[in-house]
Amino acid sequence: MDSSVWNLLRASNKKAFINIYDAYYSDLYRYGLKLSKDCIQQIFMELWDKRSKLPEVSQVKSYLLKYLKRKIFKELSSKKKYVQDLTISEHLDEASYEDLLITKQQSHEIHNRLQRAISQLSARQMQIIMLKFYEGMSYDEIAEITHLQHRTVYNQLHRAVKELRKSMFIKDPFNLLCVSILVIIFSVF
Amino acid sequence: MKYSNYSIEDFVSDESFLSFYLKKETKDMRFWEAWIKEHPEKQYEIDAAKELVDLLALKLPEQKFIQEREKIKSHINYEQILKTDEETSENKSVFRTPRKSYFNLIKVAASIGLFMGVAAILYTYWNAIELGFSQEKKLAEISYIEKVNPKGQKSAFFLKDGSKVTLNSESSIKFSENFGENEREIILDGEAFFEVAKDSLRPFIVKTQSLATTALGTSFNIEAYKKDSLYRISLVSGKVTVQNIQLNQQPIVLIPGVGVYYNKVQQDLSIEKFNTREVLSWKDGTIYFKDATLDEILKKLERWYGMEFEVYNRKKKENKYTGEFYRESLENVLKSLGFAKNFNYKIEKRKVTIHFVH
Repeated sequence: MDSSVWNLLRASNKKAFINIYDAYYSDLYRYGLKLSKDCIQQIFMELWDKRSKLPEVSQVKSYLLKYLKRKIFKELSSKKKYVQDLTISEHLDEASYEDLLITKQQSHEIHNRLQRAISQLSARQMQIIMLKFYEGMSYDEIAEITHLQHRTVYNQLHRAVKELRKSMFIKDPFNLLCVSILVIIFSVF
Repeated sequence: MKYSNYSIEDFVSDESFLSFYLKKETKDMRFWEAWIKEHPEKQYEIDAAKELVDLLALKLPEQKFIQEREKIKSHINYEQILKTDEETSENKSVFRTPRKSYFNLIKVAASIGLFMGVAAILYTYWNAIELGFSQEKKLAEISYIEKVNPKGQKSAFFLKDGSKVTLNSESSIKFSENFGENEREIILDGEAFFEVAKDSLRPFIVKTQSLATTALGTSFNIEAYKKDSLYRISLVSGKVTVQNIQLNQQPIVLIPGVGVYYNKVQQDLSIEKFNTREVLSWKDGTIYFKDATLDEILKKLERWYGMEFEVYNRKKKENKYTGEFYRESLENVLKSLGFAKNFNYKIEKRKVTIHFVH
């Protein structure tokens, strides 16, 4: 989202403000997960209140993330909590991202399926998935970081997502039953 | 178009789809919203793709996000811009399906609560003003639908999700044209009875200034006239939560038979058991008074009949009044009241004059 919307916010445009809120909320949220929610609300309220005094910003996302980091840090240190939480790290490594994905699932079943699905992925695929969905990077950006071709990045991601999709979605039980019966019948021959 | 042959993973890997779903670029949001409407045959893949993205992007569940968003909106006093439109919402075709959780095949049951046998007169009146806005970037337009009842008029109607609203006189409700698609939010000034269709993915939220009442599938009454200082929310069936969103307090959970009084001046919520007759009688045409002061009586009658009241020679000490009138004319009500409280009255075109006799 480019800085023209940011400038609209500085000019007290409420729609622009809400657009920014919508666009960056999920990026901010996953930075601190449960910790973020209240901090994000505070940040946006402060942003609105101080809108005419805001600086010019070229990268809205990093501006907001820095703001959030400071807020969370203040929040935690005021509560004398030791900042051990792995979600507060600047950048996650693949292992912690995996942990997050799995531990976030409440259902035991999904938990297991996801774990199995992830174990099928290659390290490269895991990295690309994380860069795309956690860091929110574009294919071009990922290609730069990984020193791969744009096309390759896309293919790897696509393949990984396909694997995940296959493991995560149970087909219609009825369908599954029919297919199993057919498989059994065929295997008899 | 290539998108018609897209598989779930094709959507998930598509940058413009991600830009739409993660609300990054308005042009992508516009394109995909339109495309999805025009291609209902791909709804399964779209929904599954969204679920997968939610999972991988560690997204906050949509309804929680909407709650947070509402708080921000009220902080900036976000007033929606109304669109001028002679069209009524019935003419617009809106494609909307409940989102199923494909991971667990949970089905969302939409049940319509048909509660009343009384057929109310459907009185709809569309109130819309178009305001033009010029901006560099074309930001998403939201248009609102408003239903207004003047004094002396009651109405009932169904919303897009199957919920039923019975609206009392001198009351109005306002909701987005896209009500039911991503959210179910209503702004109320006055009194209404809600019978909410079940949709656990989209909570039904009624906003009355600083209060937000959230329901999943239930029926409840809200009395919240902006002019009044006391609001009342009474739960008949199901479950609701009531929260002072301005003060960002903990929501209060109500169970059937329990209601909440909100004192606007002191800004506090108190829980109370309520008398169903007293709270709901307005719906079937009964005016119900229980230990009512003269002022309360007159206010109710004013709203009910759409008349102005002028009182002369009031007594210093006034007794409270209990009684009910089922579909009575103003004449009959005044006759009974006048006899009980000892006053004479005169009914004119828009005004009733009351003279107390000592």
